Amino acid sequence: MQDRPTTPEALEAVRDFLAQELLPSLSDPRRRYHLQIALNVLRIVEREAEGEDARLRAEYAALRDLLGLPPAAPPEDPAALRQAVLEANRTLCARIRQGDADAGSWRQRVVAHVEASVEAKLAVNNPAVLAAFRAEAAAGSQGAS
Amino acid sequence: MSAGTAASATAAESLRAGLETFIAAEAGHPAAIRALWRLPGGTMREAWALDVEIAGGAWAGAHRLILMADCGAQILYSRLPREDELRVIAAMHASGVPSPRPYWCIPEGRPHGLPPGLLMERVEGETVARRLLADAAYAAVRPRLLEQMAEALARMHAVPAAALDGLPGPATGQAPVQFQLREVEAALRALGEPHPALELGLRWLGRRIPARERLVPVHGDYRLGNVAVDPADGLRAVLDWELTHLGDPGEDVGWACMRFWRSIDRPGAPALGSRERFRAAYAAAGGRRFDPEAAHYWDIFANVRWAVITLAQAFRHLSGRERSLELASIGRHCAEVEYELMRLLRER
Repeated sequence: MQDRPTTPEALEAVRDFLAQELLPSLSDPRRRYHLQIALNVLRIVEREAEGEDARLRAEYAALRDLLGLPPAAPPEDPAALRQAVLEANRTLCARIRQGDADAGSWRQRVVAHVEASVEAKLAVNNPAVLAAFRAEAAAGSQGAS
Repeated sequence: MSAGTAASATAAESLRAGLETFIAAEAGHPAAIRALWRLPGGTMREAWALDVEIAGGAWAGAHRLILMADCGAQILYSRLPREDELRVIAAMHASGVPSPRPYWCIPEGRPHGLPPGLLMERVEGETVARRLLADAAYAAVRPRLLEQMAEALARMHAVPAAALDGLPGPATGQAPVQFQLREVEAALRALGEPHPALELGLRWLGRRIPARERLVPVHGDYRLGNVAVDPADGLRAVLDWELTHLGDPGEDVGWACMRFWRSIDRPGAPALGSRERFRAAYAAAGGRRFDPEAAHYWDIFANVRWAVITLAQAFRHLSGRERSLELASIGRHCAEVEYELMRLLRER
């Protein structure tokens, strides 16, 4: 087992150094802009580091169910797990392309699955934007008469 | 002087010398560059500002120019060769579409040691969307900016396609959107990764191809961010014409109204105005009327196209063609675009 700091702790330490010590020392706007991008990427991977494995396992199970495959234990090895989810997504894409999700009850299931997957990605990549979407949906439904 | 500064000073000096010779040859009279500096921003091309004085003849006087130097970035499938881009700018400028005045095209072959690129008028004005939407300096022009953008777009779409012969566009009898869908799909396939949300989008779009409309010049990236805005006059020029092609006007209308750009009102989040107001102003200025179904189609098209571009930008870094943190990070914006796409697919 690896020693502390954990992955998210190490990322946070790097991020704090860049934000609190390096960023204030930069005056060039282009450098500052790129450093802000770097900080944002670090925030993303910090959020991602926590629970990515569990999310992939859940996606694997959901895809097998959606595709009508018998339940199976996901691969243990992280690289193999990622590859397995990738392959399942390829199969889903092929079926969408051939029109299987154009209408009907399977379409509803595919749309719900894809919505959930996209939301899970957005929660990691930009939780503020996800919150804004939700606020807009709430404001929109209040506005509708 | 650091090594970096010394290197860029030498680059600027040789650029200055080359440009003076080139401009003098084009103008037929001596040219003196009074100022030359690198402009920040832009992942695809190097931009330099120059103030040049031409000694005599038709071009006599002071000119404020910008040099857009190609850096070989062919990230997007339908990017125009620079000669065609200059032709587009010339046609737009001549037709009264707010655009930079075109000057000259620097060809391949490093004449006078110069990189290939374009010389055009340097239009003063703010382009950064965040500032245009929030800074007090632009409060006076904000109320009209949506209308100005819609009017400029309508003018652009009124330029006859025949005046821009040779631009990328659909084959005879092919629906314009089919031409674009093929390009978007090809770009997605080239990435070799599964994106079920985008497959749903492409399939939805492909099964509802709109009837072929009059072919118009489509800007290809029309949005806040690609217009120069003056704090007193408002919109002064539409910029970045390199993605212009022949197509359906809905491509630009849907793109300009995309949520991602933050320039159109959302529930609880006002910006420049509603998409209905934009489309009404566009129609009032002579543009096509989009019924809600057509508007919805083009909203979905825009998000699918942009999502694929975000992935292609990241792939450009990942493939090693252009290592860049900025390009790499753009890939993580795809989720936001896919979320909006799924929301739109639910709407109707």
